[in-house]
Amino acid sequence: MLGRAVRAVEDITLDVAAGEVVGIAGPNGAGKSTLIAMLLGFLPPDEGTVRIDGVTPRAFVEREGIAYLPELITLPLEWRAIEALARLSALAGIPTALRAVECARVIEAVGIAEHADKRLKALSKGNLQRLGLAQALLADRRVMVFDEPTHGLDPVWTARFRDIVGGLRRADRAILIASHNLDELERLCDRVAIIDRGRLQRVVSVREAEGALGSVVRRWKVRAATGIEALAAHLPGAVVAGQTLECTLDLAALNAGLAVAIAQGALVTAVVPAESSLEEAFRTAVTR
Amino acid sequence: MTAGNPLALYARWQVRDAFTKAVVTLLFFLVIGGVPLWFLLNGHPPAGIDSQERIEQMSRMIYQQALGSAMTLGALLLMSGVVSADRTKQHFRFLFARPVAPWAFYLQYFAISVMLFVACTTLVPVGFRFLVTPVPVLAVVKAAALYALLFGALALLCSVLVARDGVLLVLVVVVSMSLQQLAPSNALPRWAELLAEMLPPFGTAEALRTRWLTERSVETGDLTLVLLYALGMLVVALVLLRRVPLAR
Repeated sequence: MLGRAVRAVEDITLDVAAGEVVGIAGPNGAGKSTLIAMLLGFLPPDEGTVRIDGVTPRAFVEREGIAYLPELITLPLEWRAIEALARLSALAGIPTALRAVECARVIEAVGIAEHADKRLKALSKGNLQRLGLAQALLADRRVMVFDEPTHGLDPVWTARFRDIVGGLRRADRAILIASHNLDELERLCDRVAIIDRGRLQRVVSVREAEGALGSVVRRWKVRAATGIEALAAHLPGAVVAGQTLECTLDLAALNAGLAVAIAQGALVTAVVPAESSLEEAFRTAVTR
Repeated sequence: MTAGNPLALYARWQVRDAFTKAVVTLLFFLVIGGVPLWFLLNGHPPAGIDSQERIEQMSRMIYQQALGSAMTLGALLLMSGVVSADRTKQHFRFLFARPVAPWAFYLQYFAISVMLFVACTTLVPVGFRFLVTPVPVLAVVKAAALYALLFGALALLCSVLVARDGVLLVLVVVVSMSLQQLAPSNALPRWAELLAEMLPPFGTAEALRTRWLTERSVETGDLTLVLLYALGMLVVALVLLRRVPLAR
């Protein structure tokens, strides 16, 4: 009430269509969580409008609900995992007769069957996060919002989460994922909105960015079993470190240099972008 | 899948949550009245209380005082921290991403809490009647309902307004009761008298409770005042729940 007023988000215009998976990327304090709070109607904007399917977020949520995985799993710790799912499935409108089946389905999907009877305070960070994901999957929703969904998950479950989101794609469903993890966003999303200091910096179309690689000058990492010197000689500006070199070239110049070096006996084991197109866009958009 | 009414489906969980708070009144009664009653009824009456009739009179007096205190404390706790805890602990992010209006959610919880409070408090006269001496039961039902509505509505309103609602609630109750006790003696300045009239009518509620428990008739005007005040606070709390953002 008497706190200092902070403008957490301003000047953001973003449309998300049904069928899309859109990422929201930004450094800490960029305004991602505030943006999500507005999308769910937990916080009204001081200026501007937020609409989902033509109505205010709160009206939309109260009409049909949003599948939402918050950044922190702040459910009461004295609840048991199965109780949390039973309660939240009731609030999702799942009839009592179907509740056990629905809870079992999401428990199976996130692999927490052995922890279902445990109190939340006894769950590890990863299992708590999986429970958070399970509750978001409880009902069939047209809008899904995941805030830092793989936070605390091990690599196996991070990969599993990608599979789950892949399975959630549907022509009539919009999915939003806010994450620090650019690699994750690049794998899952069609577009990524990069926000910083509360402002939308740019929207990167992931597929288009990958398609436009040919004409773009970017940094590459080249690894070779033999002939690293030959590679360095034919890739202008290359910096060698052991059996790896880095160079900044467009795709045509890179291939020309590689062809000459390979003809001279170099054995190339890997050629990868030093950073992804999204990372590159993020680096240029976020200035800190 | 045919969706059911989320609030109706969630009611059983709210009953469970509210029961823990409602049953506290019973514990308060046992703590406040249990010990003196036990001594009185097990051969340790105070000096001068020597006949069975005097013992019954004394036990009724202890019952009324202990029940009054237990009811006040229990009603204070009933709705305290309900909204503020969901906000500060961020539970609302899970509860209200679902097709549920917060104001309706808390209204249902309020109704369930009031009913459970009345049910639990009514066990006191029923038990007393069975174990000690006959006392009116319907009077306790009416008094408990009135207390739950008045204190519950104020607690809900405080809980919507501030994070540390317990402090505000106790402050309002203590100031109201103190001023309303002093007001009839003309010991207060005019502004304090006006304040006493504007604050929730706990003095009137207490007078109603006492008259019910001692089987005397009550003024309809007093009852209407308390009920309207409680209803007013409840409506303001619900309107604020629709307007004030859930996230701070």
